[in-house]
Amino acid sequence: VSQLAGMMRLRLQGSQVDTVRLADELAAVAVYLAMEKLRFEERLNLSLDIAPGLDDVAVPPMALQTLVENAVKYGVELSAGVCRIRIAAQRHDCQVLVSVANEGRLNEASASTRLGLHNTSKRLALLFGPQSTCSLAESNGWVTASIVLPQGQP
Amino acid sequence: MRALIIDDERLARLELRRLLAQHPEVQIVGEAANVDEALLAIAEHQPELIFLDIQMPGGSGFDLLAMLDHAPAVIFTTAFDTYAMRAFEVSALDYLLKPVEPQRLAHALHKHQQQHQQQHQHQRHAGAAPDKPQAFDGKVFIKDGERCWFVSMDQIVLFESEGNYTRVYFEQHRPVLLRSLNALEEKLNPEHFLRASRRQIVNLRFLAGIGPGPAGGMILTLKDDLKVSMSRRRAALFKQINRL
Repeated sequence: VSQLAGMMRLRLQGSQVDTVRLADELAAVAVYLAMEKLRFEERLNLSLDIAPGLDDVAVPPMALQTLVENAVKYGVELSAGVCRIRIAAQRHDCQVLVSVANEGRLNEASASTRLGLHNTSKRLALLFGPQSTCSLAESNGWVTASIVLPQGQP
Repeated sequence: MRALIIDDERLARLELRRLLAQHPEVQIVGEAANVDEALLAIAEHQPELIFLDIQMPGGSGFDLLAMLDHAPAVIFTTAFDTYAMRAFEVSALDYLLKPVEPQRLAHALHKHQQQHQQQHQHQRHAGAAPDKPQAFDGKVFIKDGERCWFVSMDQIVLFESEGNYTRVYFEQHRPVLLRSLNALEEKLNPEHFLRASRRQIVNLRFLAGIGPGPAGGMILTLKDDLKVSMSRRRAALFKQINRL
């Protein structure tokens, strides 16, 4: 309950601003995943690969959360066994790539409206311009959602 | 009452166990985390009641029920209100929203026990042999596309073969059951169900009239004016058994 309260507090503060620090967004996501871990236990297997020096990169609040929730909903929930989730962030030249991957397959026939993904794309474009994108792809048994954040000068 | 808990989340099963501790009449004989485990557990323990999660990886609670010849009594557990509501257009079924509230659980168990007792009384009045109550009182779960029904065998008016499947007629519904007519015939009580033809089994409870048919056969008229013709050979056998 205190974790949930902490998450709500972070999110309510976050709703007032256009962007939050990547480090803060990751902290909020970690709290959310800790709760899902209570629920799914060993079925949820998380690994993080966050390059150093990205703490202050600006991201829209809840953007990463939306992708992680999708990974849980379409990955872990649909998997009877262990499902790995990988959250990664790297800098490539003038952009930062943040990705959330889960083991599983893209289901074209699912009831998904793709609204979360669509909204995330629109928010990114409004905040950072058309160079900033959000996309979803499947390869080798992993579904990966990626956000590209242009950084101007590194 | 022997009960089985089927849910993919261990904590959800644990919570239900904790709540059921207040109901000593419910004996939990096992748990299952998915459809495959549930099929094994049902075969092994023959529970009278199952608590069944609807959304599970690898196959839903509905998929499980559709695989059973005789479904035990079911109390569904689901995290999604609308899901259960939408899937069941016909039968009023018991379902508990997660997290399960103790009062709702008590209510569902009470309702189940009343139905259970009524069935037993019904059987005693009907003079049914106690060792084969399922043959008449059993329920079958039918999943046809997105729609689901939980129907008592004795509510089914007519079974009609469609290749390897069987169309069942009850109330205004005509869904297809994923079993052959021959497989179904073995499960049905011959005192109540009659193989009228190669393609059809009728429920004698709904027999409204018998008339002559072509080539020395008979025409059976069922509820809602459904007509089934019997061959001369089957008609003769029927007359002989019933001393008509």
